Amino acid sequence: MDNKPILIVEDDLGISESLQEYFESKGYPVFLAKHGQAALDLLEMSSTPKLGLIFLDLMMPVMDGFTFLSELLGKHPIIFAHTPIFIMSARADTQKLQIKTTGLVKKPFELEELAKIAARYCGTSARPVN
Amino acid sequence: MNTRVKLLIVDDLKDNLLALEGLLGRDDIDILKANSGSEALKLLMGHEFALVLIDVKMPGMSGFELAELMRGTNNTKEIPIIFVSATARHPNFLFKGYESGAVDFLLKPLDAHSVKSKVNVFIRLYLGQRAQKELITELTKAKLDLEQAVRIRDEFMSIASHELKTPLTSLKLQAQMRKQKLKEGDPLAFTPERLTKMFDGDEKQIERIAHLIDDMLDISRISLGKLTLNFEQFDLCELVRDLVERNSDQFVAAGCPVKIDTCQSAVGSWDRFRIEQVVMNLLMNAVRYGPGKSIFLQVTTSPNGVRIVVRDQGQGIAVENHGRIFQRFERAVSGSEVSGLGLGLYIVKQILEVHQGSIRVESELGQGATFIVDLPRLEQKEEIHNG
Repeated sequence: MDNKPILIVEDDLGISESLQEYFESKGYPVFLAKHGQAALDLLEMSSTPKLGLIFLDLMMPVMDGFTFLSELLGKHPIIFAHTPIFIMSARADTQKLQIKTTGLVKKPFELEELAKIAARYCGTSARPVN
Repeated sequence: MNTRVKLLIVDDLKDNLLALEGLLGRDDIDILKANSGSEALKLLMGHEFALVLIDVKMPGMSGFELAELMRGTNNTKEIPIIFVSATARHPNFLFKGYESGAVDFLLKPLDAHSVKSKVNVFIRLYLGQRAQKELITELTKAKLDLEQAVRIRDEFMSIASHELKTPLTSLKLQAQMRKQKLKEGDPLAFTPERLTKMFDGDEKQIERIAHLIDDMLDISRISLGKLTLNFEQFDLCELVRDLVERNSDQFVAAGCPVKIDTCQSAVGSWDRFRIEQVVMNLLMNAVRYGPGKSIFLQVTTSPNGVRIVVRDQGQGIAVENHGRIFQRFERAVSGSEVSGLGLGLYIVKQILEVHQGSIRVESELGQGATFIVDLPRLEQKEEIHNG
């Protein structure tokens, strides 16, 4: 069975593109969004497949992670309920989060930790994606 | 410390008032007189008294009635009272529970010495209390200032750690991925081209960290008043041309060619490193807020100094934000829209102020922004500190 896709919402290309390379080498399809609005747009497109996992940065331009979560919950509660979301943040004030997410990975993170999360929610098929 | 005090004397007989005034008159005492209880109350509302001397027996409102009214009012209930009485009957029992407890009695005919010494005791007491109050006010203010400083520092630390962790996260990710590729023995992962790309990326992240740390150090120097300038004579036009030339790759890559219009030369005595920092900061802001659009940089001279103008075609700054952008941790757009510490323009302004220069912005939302720097040609070459 194919692995489910991962959405990475992160404004720093150094981070998001590295993660993309990493997850693709592990066999996961990856979508990138530079901010919350781009992520919402992507989720609203009918061509976007069902996601297995979202990694979400908090501090981003245009729409930050906090706003993205409340928008997603308000506009697409079904997607919100069925998609595991992990916050990636260096912020100490993640306790400001009003909305409960699946989990949190602290920057700078360990790839192994991310790999475990991906394996758990998106599958472990080793076939690389081209 | 101000040692002037006000005394109020209340007596229905004008002669008594004059006698007391004569007795107590001193350079550092202002004596106000009231010939009735109601007049005394009026004066009590408008002045702060160290002490009130009240004749007990007055027509209309008696001295005790006046004291009762004083006791019932917040502004006056703490003021010490000396009752002046012709009867030997001790009025203490008539007037228990007076708030300050500072009630005393003088018997007529008045003895000049005892009147003076009693009044002096109360004045000293009052001055001591006043000094204490002033001290408490000062301390309360200092405490608020410190709490504010701690809040600003905490907020700064939170932003700074986020900003530092972003490039660190990127570097750490790269390192982990390279290790993994080495382990997998993938030869294609380390071709010279890929290695060059990796090192370029690493360098960029490292520069970003170094830049953030420089900004943080500048901020700490500025707040301690230790921003020091090293003056040297140089040509500002040349510096600006060099700076743009040296960094032209960056500007071209961002799609922001810099169009320079400088005069022949503008020689003066400034801190070369700091002025370079100012110009570079303004140019990088122009790139950041107006990517893909050219930047206009102009240097002109006047009899008094030099003017540097940096104009971008970016998103512009609303008029109500023109003052705010030069403050610490501020930027025109909201907190998380643009990364960085929000310190650039604050540092720029501080550097210019130590040079006795200035910076201002002309802009409207959507119309691009023009930053105008005025620098006097300083004669002195000695070190100047901020603060």
